[in-house]
Amino acid sequence: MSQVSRRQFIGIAGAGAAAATAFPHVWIRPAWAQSKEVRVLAWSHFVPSYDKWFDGFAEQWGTKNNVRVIIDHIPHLQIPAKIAAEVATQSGHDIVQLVGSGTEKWSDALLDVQDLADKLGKKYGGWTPLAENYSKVKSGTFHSIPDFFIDFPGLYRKDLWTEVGMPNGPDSWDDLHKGGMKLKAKGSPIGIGLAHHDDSRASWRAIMWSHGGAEVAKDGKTITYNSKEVREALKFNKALFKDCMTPEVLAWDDSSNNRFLASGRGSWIHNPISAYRTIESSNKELADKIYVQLSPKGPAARRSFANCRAYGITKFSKSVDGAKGFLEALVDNYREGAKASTGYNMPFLKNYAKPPFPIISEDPKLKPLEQDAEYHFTTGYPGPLTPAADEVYQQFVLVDALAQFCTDKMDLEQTVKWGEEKIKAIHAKFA
Amino acid sequence: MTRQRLWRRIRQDYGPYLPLSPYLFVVLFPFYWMLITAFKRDSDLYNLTTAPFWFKEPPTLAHVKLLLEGTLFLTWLQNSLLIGVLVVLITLALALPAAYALARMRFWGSQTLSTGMFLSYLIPPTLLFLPLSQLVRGLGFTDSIWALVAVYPSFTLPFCTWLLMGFVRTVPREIEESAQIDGCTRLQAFRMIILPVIVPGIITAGIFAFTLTYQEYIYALTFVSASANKTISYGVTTDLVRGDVFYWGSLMSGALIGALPVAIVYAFSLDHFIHGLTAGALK
Repeated sequence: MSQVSRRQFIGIAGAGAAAATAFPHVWIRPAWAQSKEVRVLAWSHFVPSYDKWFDGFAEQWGTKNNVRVIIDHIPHLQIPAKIAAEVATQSGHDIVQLVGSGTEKWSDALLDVQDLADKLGKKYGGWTPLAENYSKVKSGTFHSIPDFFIDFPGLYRKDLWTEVGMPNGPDSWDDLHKGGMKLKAKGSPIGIGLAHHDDSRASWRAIMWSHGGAEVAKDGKTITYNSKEVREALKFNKALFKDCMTPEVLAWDDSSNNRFLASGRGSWIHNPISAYRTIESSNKELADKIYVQLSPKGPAARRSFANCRAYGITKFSKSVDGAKGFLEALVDNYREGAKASTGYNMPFLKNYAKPPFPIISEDPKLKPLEQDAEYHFTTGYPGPLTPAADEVYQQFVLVDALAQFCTDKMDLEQTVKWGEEKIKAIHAKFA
Repeated sequence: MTRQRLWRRIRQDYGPYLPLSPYLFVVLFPFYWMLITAFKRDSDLYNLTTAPFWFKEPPTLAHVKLLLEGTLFLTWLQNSLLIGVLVVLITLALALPAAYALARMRFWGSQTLSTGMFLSYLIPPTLLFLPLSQLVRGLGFTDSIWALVAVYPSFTLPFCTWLLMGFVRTVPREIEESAQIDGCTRLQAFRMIILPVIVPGIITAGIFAFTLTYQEYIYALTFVSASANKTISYGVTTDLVRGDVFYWGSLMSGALIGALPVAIVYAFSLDHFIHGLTAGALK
């Protein structure tokens, strides 16, 4: 009998394991290529049950229509890089999700879907202005189909705010300042991130808009950062930071305010309900004390920030009809999706924006969110979401200006001048 | 035993470890943190009123269960290992002859080429992923693990070639010449004389190539989308970081289990690796 040496055995075993591991990668691909397929690039939803529903829905729709639907989930922050790579090679997904940056930025790479948008608008009472702003490009036509927006309400500890005489939470930013001062003194500060992450640029814009200020006018071109309203908002923000928060907010990321509330120390945060949902699953006792309220109103109005999601069909798609069919079915099933998102997804179509909402209308704590479609706006407000406005957002110009003012590195006039110059320089690039 | 003798004994036995302990603390603390976070309940993890370095509530396997049953973690691990092994083989197959040529042969531009080889390693991947996308598409590797097998040598190869050049230079030219006088061709001398002598260098280069590949993120993100084709570093962050919701326990479990193959590779080749590092440092 021939002897197998240890070295030979390791060699054979290693080669066998490598072949077994590589086999599916070599074998399966040609079979994929033969079927009719629609590939979708989507984010990993904040609520896992939504992805479960979405993937299941895609499979069901695919089986019914004899189309293989492949959903690829990646983190939302990485989606722009992925789309950029696919546009460069003119190959990749048939449908791409546009996460926050608007449609204009990718308009050259996306198909005009006005026909589908009209069909859906007619069926469901028309698109909200926010949806039109997000999905229409310069030419005035839809180049993406709006899916949902993420709202920014207030999440507050009812037990703590009752102690300072506001059992329903602070209705205005001024109330937040007054109550926040008292709560900080009691060891329960409020928290709004003031650093390079999504929530910071959303929340501080909400306060600026509520004070009547904006970085740009309705035409999307005239820079309005150097205004009385912006100065008032900056002064208020500084007072809020100094009197009601701790300096830790200067080093926060998107998950920090969730942890802050989950730790039991925080008394109020400005965040989508994902923070509440997470606490609900890990600390029921604490979750019972947390309530949801409208984003506070300011001296001018109640305005908050919407982070939008829409789907575009790429020009290099080989399955445009399949892609359109899938998106139409997705909008038709919006309420099912909203239910799976546990009330996180907010509607873009007027009929869907009328109560009763799935989950939200059934839960007294979440009921205030029924009004969110009315006062949520997105990047570039009161103008359109232009690539210039998006660049100002992406570069954290407003957050950096405010952080320097709050930490006394700049006085008010220096801050306004610094911010205005930065915004003007970015807009000049796109002029 | 008197108190004095006991103290002397302790000093003799444990004294040498004293200077080592701050280093060990710094190096091992992240692993300790990963370990306890992987088994802590969320309510315990977010509790700021207790010391965070130990459990207040009973440990849980829920995070590991979520990782193994709720994600494709084992597939990602398998992909990472396969890609790592293939990239190591490709890198060594190409870097060894290149290193030999650059270290041993004198030809026009050899000096510039060896410097350029190392400098190309310094180009950030974020600048390269767009042109490499064209390459991947041209090869027909879009959205498959072969895209990564093709692309990763672009950063492992320059570094490993540069590393191996140092090892080849440590082999006295005379040994190789003697072999050639005895009838070896240059190729035979390379195979029978150089390669056995620089085994520690080959292992070192292999380990570097494996770990660089194993931890890579940006190319994996760009060239792979399908869940079944993701690597461990990419897959874990995709499924366990959802916007502002971080699944800390499962993330730490993933990091801990993911670190095991690298730890095993290091443990089994530690002697060669250390020898390789020190030998490579001297000419």
